[in-house]
Amino acid sequence: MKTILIIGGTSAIALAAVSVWLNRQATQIVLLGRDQERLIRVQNDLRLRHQNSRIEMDSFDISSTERIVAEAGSILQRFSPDVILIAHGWLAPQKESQENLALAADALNINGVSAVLWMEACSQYLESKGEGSLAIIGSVAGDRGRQSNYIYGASKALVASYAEGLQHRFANSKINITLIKPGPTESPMTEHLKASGMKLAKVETVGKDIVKAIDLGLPVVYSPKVWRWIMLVVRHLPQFIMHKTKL
Amino acid sequence: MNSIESWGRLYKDQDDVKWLSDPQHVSSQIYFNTEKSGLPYGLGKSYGDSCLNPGNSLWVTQGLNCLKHFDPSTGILVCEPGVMLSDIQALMQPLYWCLPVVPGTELITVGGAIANDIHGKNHHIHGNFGHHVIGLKLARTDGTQLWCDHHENSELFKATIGGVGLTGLIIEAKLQLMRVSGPMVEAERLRFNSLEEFFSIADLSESAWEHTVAWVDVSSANMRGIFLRGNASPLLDGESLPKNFPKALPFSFPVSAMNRLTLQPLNWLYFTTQVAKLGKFRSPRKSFLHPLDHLLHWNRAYGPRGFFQYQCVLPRSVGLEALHTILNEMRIKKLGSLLTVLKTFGEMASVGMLSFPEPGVTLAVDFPNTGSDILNFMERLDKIVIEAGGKLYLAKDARQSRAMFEKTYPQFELFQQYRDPGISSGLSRRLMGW
Repeated sequence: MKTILIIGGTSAIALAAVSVWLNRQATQIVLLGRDQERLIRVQNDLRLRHQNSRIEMDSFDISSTERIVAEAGSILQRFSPDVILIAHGWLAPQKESQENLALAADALNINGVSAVLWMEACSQYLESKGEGSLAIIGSVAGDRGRQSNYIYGASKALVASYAEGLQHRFANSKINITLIKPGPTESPMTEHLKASGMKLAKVETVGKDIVKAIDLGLPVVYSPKVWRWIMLVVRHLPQFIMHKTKL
Repeated sequence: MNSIESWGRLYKDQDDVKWLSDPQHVSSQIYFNTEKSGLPYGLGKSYGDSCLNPGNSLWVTQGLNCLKHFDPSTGILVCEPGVMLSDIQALMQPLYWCLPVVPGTELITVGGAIANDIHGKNHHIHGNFGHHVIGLKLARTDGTQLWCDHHENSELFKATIGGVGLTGLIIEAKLQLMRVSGPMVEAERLRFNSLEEFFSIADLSESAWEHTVAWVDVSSANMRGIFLRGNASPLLDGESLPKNFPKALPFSFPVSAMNRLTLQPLNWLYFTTQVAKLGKFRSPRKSFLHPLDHLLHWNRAYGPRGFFQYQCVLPRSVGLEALHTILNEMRIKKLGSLLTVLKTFGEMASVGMLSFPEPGVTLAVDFPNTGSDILNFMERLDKIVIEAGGKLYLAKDARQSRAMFEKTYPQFELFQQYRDPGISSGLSRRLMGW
C-alpha cells in the first residue's frame, strides 16, 4: 500500500486531495497537524469512509522550528512515505500584521520558514530513498507583491523559490518536486473573502489538480488553471499601472 | 458557485454568511447576537425563504461534514449535520445498509433532512426522515449544547424535527439506517387516465410496493398520468451500476422554459415517451429515486425570476375532490409545469410539531414566477387547501399568509416556546412574527 504523508492534515485543500487518493485506491494516509482534536475528527471520518485504507495521525506543533528539527527526520523514517504534501498555512490579516509585527512574524514563519524547513527535511529523506514525490501548496499571492496581501505573498514566494531550487537539485533524478499555486479557494482560511462575496475555487477542484500534478510530476501548477493566465498578466503589469490598482 | 440562494431562486438579497467548519468553535460562532439573528443553512435546496435570513446571518454547515461512528451490526450512524445524504448512500451501499427515507434529491444535508422532516416515495411504509432519527445534539445561541431524543428533552426534539432550523443548530445526529437487499429497483410503470384510477392504483400498490409516486399531465382534461412503483433489488448476474457523472445546466435561461406556450407540448411529449415504456423495468435505485440529480442546477430552466413550488397535503376523505378542483383551475389557466407529482402518504403520525406529512395525498407542482398573477392564483389554491383541511410544506413555501399557517399548523404556538431566541429566518418572520 502506498503511503502519503500530509503536513497540515486538517487543511481543507489537503483533505480534498486525500479524498481523491482514497477514492482511487486503498492507501495509507498519515496526517500531521497541531490540533489533536481536529485531527481525530478527520481521522475518524476518513476511517469510516475508507475502510480498506489506513489512516494514521500524529499531532505536534508542526510550524515550530525546534520540533521540525527534532522530529521531522524520525517521522519520515517511521512512516516512509512515497508522496509528501506540505499543506499547512495561515492567511494572516494583512492590515493587522503591518501594525503588529508579532503577527507578521507568525505569518512568515508558518507559511514560509516552517514550510521550507519541512521541504528540506523531506528532501533529505527522499534523497536517501532515491525516489518519491514532494508537493507543496504555494499561492498565486507569491507571484507578485501586492499591497493587499504581501506578507502572506512574500512567505509563499519563499516557498516558490525554494521549490525551484529543489527542482534544480533533483533534476535528472526519480524525485519530483511539485509546487501548486491555488487561487483563492473556499476553506476556513478564506471565510472572510467568501463572506465578502468573492468568487472562490472549490477545494475539490484544487484537490484533483494536486493529485494530477503529482501523478504527472509537473513542476508548477496553477489551480484552477485560469490563474496561470491571470498571474501572467499580473506579473507583467508595468509598475505605473500596477500602482494605480488596489490589487 | 458561492452565491447563497434557495432552490426557487426568488430572492437576490445577500445574507451575512458564516462558514462553520470546526465543531469545537461552533458555540462561539453562533453565540447570541442582539443585532442580528442567525439561521443554519445546509445546501440551500429548500425552495422558498425557510433557509434564508435576509439582512441577518446564515451559518453554513457544509464544513461540518464528518462521520463520527457507524455500527455495521445495528446500522446506527452518528454524523455531523453537513454530511450529504448522497455520501451516506454511496458509502452504505456495499454494506447493504441505506437511509430509510430520502427525498427526491439526495444532494441535501442530514441537518436539512431533519429540519424539514423530509419524506420520500416510501412514506406509506417508512414514514418521514424524523422517524429514523434516534437523537441529536443541538447547539443553542446561549452557548448550551443539549442532547435531544424521545426521552431526554423530548419536546425540544419534537420541535427540532421539522422545525426548519429555528430551535438551534444541530451539530450531531444519530440515525437508524435500514437493511436493503441491493442497489437496484425492480420497478413498474403504469398509465392512469383519471384521478380515481390514480387512487385505486395507489391503494393496490401500497402493501406490495415500497416506493410509489405518480406524475400528472396537468394539461390533460381527464388528469391522465404515469404511476411508478418499485422495490429494492440486488444486482443480478451481468448487471452493473453505471458510473454517474451528473450534467449541470451551465447558465440560467433568459426566460422560463416552462410557460403557457410550452406547457401543453412538453407535458404531451413527456407523457408520450413514458407511455411508450409502460411495464416492468429495472433501474439503479439512485436513478429511480432521484432522476433530477442527473441534471444539477435544473432550477435555472425557470429563468432569472425563479419559480414557486406549491406542495400541499390533503386529507384522504376530501383529497380526490380537492385535487380535481386544483388541477382543473390550473388547466383552465394553463398554469403549472412539467414537474407535477402526486403521492399518497401513509398513516404514520409525524414526530415533529411542524412536520408536513399527514395521512392523505400530497400534490407538488411548480409555477414559474410571473409576478402578481401567479401569486393571486396560489391564493385561490390556498382557499381550496384550507377548506379541505390540508396545509403547505414549509420547505417549499415562499408566500403563504400568516393566517393560513396559523390555521393549518395547530401546534405552532407550542412550537414557538421551543425556538432559539437568537435564530430566525425569512419564513419565521413572515409566518410566526419573529
